[in-house]
Amino acid sequence: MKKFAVFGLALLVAAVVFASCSMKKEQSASVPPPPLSKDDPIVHDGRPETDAATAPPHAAFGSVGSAPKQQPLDPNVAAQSARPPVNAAGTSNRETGETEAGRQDAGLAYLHRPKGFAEPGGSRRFGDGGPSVASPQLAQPRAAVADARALPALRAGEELWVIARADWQENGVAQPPAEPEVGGLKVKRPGSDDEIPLPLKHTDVQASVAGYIASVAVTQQYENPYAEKIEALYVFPLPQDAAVSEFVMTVGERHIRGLIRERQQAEELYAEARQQGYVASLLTQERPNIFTQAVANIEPGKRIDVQLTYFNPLALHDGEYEFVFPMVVGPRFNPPGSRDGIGAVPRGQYGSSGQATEVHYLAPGERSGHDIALTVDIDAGLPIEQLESPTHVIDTTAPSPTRRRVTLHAADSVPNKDFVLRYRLAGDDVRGAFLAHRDNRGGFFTLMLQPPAELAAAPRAPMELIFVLDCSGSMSGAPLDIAKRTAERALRRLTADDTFQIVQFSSSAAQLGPRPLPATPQNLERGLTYLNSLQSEGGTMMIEGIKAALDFPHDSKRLRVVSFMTDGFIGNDPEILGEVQRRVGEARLFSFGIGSSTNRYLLDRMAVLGRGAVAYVGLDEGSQRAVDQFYDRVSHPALADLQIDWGNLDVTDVYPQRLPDLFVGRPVVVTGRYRGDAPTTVRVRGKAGGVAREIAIAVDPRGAATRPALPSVWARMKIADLEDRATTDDNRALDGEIKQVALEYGLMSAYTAFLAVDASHVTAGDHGTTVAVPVPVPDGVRYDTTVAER
Amino acid sequence: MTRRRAAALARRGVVRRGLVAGLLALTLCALPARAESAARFRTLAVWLDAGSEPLAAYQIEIRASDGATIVGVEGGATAAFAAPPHYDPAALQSGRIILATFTTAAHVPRGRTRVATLHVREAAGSAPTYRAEVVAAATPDGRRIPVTVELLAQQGDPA
Repeated sequence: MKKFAVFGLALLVAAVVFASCSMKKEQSASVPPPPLSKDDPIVHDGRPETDAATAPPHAAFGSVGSAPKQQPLDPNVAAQSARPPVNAAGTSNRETGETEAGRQDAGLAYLHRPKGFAEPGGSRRFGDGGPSVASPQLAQPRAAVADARALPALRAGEELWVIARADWQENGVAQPPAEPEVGGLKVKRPGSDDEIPLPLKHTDVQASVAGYIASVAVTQQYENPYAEKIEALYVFPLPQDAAVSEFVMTVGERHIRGLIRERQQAEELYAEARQQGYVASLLTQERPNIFTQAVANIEPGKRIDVQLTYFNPLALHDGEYEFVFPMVVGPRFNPPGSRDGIGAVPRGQYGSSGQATEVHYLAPGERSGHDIALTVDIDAGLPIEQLESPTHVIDTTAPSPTRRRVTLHAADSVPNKDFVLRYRLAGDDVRGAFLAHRDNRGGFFTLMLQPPAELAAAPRAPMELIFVLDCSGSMSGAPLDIAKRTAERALRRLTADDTFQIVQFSSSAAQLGPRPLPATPQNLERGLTYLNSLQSEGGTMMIEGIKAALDFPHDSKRLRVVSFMTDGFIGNDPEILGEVQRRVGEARLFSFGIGSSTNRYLLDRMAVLGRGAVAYVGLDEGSQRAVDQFYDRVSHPALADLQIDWGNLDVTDVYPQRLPDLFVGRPVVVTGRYRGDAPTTVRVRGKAGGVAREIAIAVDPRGAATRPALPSVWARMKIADLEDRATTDDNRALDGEIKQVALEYGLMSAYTAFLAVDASHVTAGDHGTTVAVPVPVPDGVRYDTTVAER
Repeated sequence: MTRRRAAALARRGVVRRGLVAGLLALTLCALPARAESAARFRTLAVWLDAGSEPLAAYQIEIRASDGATIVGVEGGATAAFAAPPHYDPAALQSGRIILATFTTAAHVPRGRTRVATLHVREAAGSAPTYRAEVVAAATPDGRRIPVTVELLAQQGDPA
């Protein structure tokens, strides 16, 4: 009886609520508090819906007289602009107050926006099947700085535009600052006052590291400096193992969380929203370390923030933890016939590469107004003994012996090279080698496998050392010099039992001799002479280098070690990785990333697939460290053929599925699912130099805490494993599996995308012009041999 | 009043509160059909009514019928719930969205509060329906409370 009563009451409640809900739209006042109205200050972001994006700033400027002249601006040809007028958007427009059309006060000129502005037509629809050749034609840029203290009050429905600061004016004509700006929305050409407006203003990076897992929030601030609506496109890098799991678009004061969707569906929804005039943002993945952010319908003077959050495990090399944040995508070379690569084009030359994705680069001397701020909070759990950035100037504070706060120095805020931060902890232990997390999906863990200490005492076998140097145009100058020095150092440490070969590739491959040479003093001199003769020019036909390095008979008496030295600036990463898998055989491939913004995805995966290790040599650090580390790896046998006995733990879905070898100084992180709570001992068994060895690790899953990063890290590593298999396996089911994992765990992948649409407000006019955010070529890379020639 | 009568009333009270707390509330919100040639975007406000209790955490499940695709989740009207709630991506693949959040703000809302706004795309010619159900709600000290949920079409939507 009670059950019937309960059911009846539930039905009654549902019916009443349903009836109430059905009437809400027409009779919202009947249920207090009423539904939202247009004047609800929370719903709306300070923009009047009826007149947002309706003001013709250029027309209005003319009525004030102090505004700069208006003329169309082609981003290819910098505007002949004076200091642009200033928009006070973002301040409240709902206050009441003065309503005159314009006035001068406290050094500012004001203007209330009129209505009825119609946006001009756009040139390209996102996702419509390839790059367009249309060049955006935009009107005068407008900057966005306001002195809010001097703003006059407004009536409801009005918006305030601050069109110029009096102290920027001279004889009634606005004057730009004498020096190029950093932090504004413009670039300036060398020797010119021409300013090039950019829609990406600032990137803010907030990272926090707990143990060996980083959680990083990246906020990109887009602002429309033009007088017309735009769509911003920005191709940018993230770490190759980043598990991107959150995406939030901020419009005014409102935060809209984006949702993970199948990529094609997300692209279609985005295109539809864009076409209908809604503010929308779409994040897609072009490579595991290259992403495209599209933001549609940014109204003149308005700002849209997009924040994405990711997790990634830090690398631990030779006792040093390394946090890396890439800042710019280097110019990629794509083999002839390629259409799905990453094109490198001069700023504004839309579609000229013929590739599906294009990065627009600033010419030499042009400076980007886009700057970056970065903070890393480290909570290591053990005293931090050493901390340094080999790439940037940093400020460091130490709240406690186990914690550090690192901030990028303001003078080093140009985003043209990878940010690298390294630190050591007291003692040899890895804090929290076993991390566990439980939720309603079950248990997830990560485990850092440390190589046994006794490996460092074991001698190595004779080597057949193959140096492969990338001599393409992008390595011109400092990168090739560093590669040569690195190879030279390595050559000089060979012993008489070793042999060596030097292979160079650019548009084609060549080598020192038909077969590896014994490392005699005479041969080494010959090798050094050959090394010094290498010049950089031409494209990056990396596949030729791989063939030359791997396609010759194996010397069974020696361990073949291939040292691949490159910046990795190629657009056909999957093809290269597939070739490495197919051809590596018994060889070990060690990749050296040379330069300031290397393609870490390619280099890391080459090393993984080649059962070797990766090292990076920046422009500002010597090659000594990398060579020493390389010899540490190859001078001692690795612990190979790993098998893990999980003890009492019921473990499944371990990734990487093919466990890598353990080299001296190179711990490896594995991840998996687990059931069970009993403390146990995990035993890792393998062979080093033909001798069986074992590592015992005590784990206690009872300490499982809420570590929301772990499911994402697990899913990301599973996706990486599937991606590796997909490079040599045409089975389309792998793509579906990647997509399924990504959707289930809410992660970015090649087959998923994040989409956010602000459906509360339709912007006026057409969807506007697409503007790609141009970026500088990486530090040390020549524009003329990379962008201009490609 | 006899002790038996008092006990019966108390039991009934418990049952009633249990009903509200256990079942929570169910809302069916049928939005008017529209015959349009193009898909439309609109917003739906998610309101929770916690009565006199302070609301610090909630989890709700919203199902949409064919034709509706959620394209964004916005935070609520009060500072405590201004950040957009989190969602369960796995549930999203089965045509529903589970939203959840909690706040540690000093001031949490009571009564009827807009806690989120859904941004949705509705296919041309479709008249999707939406159903919301509260899975759980709690006070700042973690005590479960009964709440009701409503989905309201936002005013100002293009008709």
